Amino acid sequence: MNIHILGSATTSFGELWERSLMSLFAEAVEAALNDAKLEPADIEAAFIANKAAGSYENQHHLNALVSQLFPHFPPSVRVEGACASGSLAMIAAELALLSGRYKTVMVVGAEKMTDVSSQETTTILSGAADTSTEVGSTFPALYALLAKSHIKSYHTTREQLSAVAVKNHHHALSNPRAQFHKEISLEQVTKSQLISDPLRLLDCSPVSDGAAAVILSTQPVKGKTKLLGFGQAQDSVSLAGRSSLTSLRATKVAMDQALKDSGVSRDQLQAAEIHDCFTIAEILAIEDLGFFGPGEGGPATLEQRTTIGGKIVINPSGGLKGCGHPVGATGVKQIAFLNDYILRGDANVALAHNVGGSGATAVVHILGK
Amino acid sequence: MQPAKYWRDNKSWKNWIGKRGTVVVSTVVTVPPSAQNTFQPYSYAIVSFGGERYEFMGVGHELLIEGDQVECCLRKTSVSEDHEIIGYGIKVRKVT
Repeated sequence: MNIHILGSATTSFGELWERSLMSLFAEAVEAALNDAKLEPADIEAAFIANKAAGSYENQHHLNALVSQLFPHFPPSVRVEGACASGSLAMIAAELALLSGRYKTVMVVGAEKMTDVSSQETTTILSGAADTSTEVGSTFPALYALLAKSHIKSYHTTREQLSAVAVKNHHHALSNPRAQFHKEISLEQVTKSQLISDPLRLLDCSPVSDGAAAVILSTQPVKGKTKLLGFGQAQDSVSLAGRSSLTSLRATKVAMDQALKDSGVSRDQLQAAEIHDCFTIAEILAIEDLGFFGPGEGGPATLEQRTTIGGKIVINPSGGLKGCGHPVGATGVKQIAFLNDYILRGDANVALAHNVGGSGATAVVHILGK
Repeated sequence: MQPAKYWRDNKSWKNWIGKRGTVVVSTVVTVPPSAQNTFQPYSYAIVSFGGERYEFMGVGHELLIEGDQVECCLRKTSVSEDHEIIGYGIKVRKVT
């Protein structure tokens, strides 16, 4: 796949009271252009990722609102696929480039989530489940069902779940854009408020505001990160319709596609940004991506084999848990972070894994030098 | 809750009421969406009816665990603003 990342940017993630959704979009757009040393007119089209501005602030028509951040009003499309909106916008942009229609495009994702109560956010996010057949569900509840199934099958422990949160908070310390810059202990996770048995407050990624942008191009350039391949797969939205409750089939299929598309082998991957919306989600992902066998993800995390310096670095940015999870921005931020990570020589080949809902959508990107 | 959606959904209730199944896996929701706030804490479970599985809220504060035999029944499933419809739907209760 002959697509390079010309530039990227991520705003600070967090509870950004003073920032509006559009100011976050504008900051990411301007910073990505500066990073790429491009003018706004160089962007031929824009692909916008956002999950729920319509619900959070009755703001729709985001493609046009973001297009008007550019003086020439480039064609723009908004993409929504729950928490995978960012990576789906990436794929839309990549397909547009591969079609030959455009040579240089921008992908920008943003979400403004903290202007409403946590209960309203729970309601809004639960719209990514099947609202006709999963009445009363919440995302912590759906991942709790997956966690319970994994615990039953593989004896996954409370300590192993907690180790995911501890590790990602530790990694976030070195990410200046991260929402949290605070170490937490296994004991703090274990003693935090119960949200949906067995998941506790510190098993959950936070509610966040933030934006990220990347500029992609098929123009020949040197010294830039290259998108090597991608995969996307779907599954039943309802957990009850899944063939397994101890793995996400969509992740496995997307990974197989991405490896085939990129020509990269698993052994070459040195780092991965993983969709750790809940601690159990990271354990499922590192098993489904084939980094560890079924039931081995928890022990591997507790033994620090996924910490910086381990077998493979999982979530060096802090992931969704430590860096934050402004839903529409997350999939784009994973690519932006890995772009910087690769450019500064921390890895040669890396992977981004983004999930929508409780696993009905999964996208894998592989990047390299 | 949208009245038209509610009107469409309630046509399937008669197919569910009295149907019995087995809890495959369950959790207890303590931080619910706003429309379910008055019910918390409540069980949320995947229930197997022979070859098919569906997801349901448990009735009241009843704790459902794996292997429980349950029966579908009609109960309030959402409580919204005063001027809105009170939502009813299918929940499951333990068969004693």
